[in-house]
Amino acid sequence: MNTRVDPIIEFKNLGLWYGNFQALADINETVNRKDCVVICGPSGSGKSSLLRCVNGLEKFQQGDVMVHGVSVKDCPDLAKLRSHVGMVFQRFELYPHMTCLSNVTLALRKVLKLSKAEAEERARQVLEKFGVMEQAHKYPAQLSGGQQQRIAICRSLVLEPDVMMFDEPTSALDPEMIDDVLQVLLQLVKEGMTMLIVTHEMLFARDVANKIVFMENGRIIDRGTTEEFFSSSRNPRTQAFLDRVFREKRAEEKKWFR
Amino acid sequence: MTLSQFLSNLYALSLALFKYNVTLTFLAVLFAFPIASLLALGRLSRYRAVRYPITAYINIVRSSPLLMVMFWTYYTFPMLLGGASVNVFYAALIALTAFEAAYFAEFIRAGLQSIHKDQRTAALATGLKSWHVSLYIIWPQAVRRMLPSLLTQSIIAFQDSTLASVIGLREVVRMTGIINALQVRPIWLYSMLAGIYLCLCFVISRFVRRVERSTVDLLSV
Repeated sequence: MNTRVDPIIEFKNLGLWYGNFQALADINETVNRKDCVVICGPSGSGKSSLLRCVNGLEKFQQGDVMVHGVSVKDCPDLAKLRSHVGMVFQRFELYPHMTCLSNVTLALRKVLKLSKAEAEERARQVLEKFGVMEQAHKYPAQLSGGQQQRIAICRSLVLEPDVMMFDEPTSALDPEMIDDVLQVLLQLVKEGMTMLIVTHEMLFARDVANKIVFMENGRIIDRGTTEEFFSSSRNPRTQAFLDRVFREKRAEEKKWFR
Repeated sequence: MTLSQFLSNLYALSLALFKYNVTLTFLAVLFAFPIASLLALGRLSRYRAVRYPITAYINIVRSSPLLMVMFWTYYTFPMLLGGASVNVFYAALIALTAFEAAYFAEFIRAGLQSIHKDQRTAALATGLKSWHVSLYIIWPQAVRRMLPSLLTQSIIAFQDSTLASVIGLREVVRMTGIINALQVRPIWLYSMLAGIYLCLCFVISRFVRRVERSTVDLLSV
């Protein structure tokens, strides 16, 4: 069986409004199993809103999103659907009043209804795998940004989701922490996790993604396999965006040699 | 004032204090918290039919003097209800509860609103039900943030409970007046009253500061 064409997420003519403002328009895209799709584009272009539509955190007015064949619009049990879709945030959003271990086990216990021992065992496996087991009994505020983001990733992964969504996972991190978290993402891609990533790390996207989607003003205005996107996109907006991103990168590198 | 007179006065005042002021404050705070929680939720409701009247209640009570609220519960409302007579303790309790609930409601609302909305989003994204998110994520954090204000307000309620003397409750201030009418030693008696209140409030505020410190550490994010 060819698992490459197993669609996990399908956007079908999706449209979202905030009052009179149209945040998303005519979104059509498919994320297949084991895809790593990077969504990029200027801020305010609807990238985050798009992710939030996938697990029904945003009520869209037009079209639909299918997650593993289940319509989000008509989903009778959104909570269950959400437990199959991992989500990681820019500012981690760990629960500050709980230890990291409790952060990771909460959903296991309350959503999957595991016993405390079972939940902690599963959490331990995931925390160990991502090198944050020593932090399990600390509170989020005691950790570095990179460690916090790893814990947040563990909190989602422990539910064994079909797809992981990342909303600018490295934007709130100190530069030396960014690679740390990107390494975790790379590891997940290698393991065949289906990923949907909003990021400005275009170098990472070039090396890791297999599909790139470029958004502007709530629309997908360019898309392609990573190779197509970076080498042969004819879209002038994409060209301008890539030029700017790579010029900034170069400028950043140069600054240190002045 | 002889020593034995001093001690028996101290005993009488303390008794009145614990029997009425402490009990009154304790019960009022106990009842006010759940009522205030509902008021706060109502104030944050997306339905105007809920939000407007509750906001009006909170604003009206917060701009009224407690003494007036006490007159209302003891004289005016019973009169409007056809001249029923009300136990003065219950009248004071209802007044203080209704009054503090309005203040508490604002602290609770502020506490709930101070929790970043992505905390809810993140918790929902793991598949938790909405009431689970409130119970395990939002309220525990919000309560820790509002606890110092709530406790401070409770100390104020304890001080305000003396206003019940005006509608005739034999709490500590009224008791001081009664003893003074017999012994005519106002300087002694009102100094004792001040001393008792000062000691108790000092102890409580120390406790509040400790609570404050222990919660600030945890939520310094």
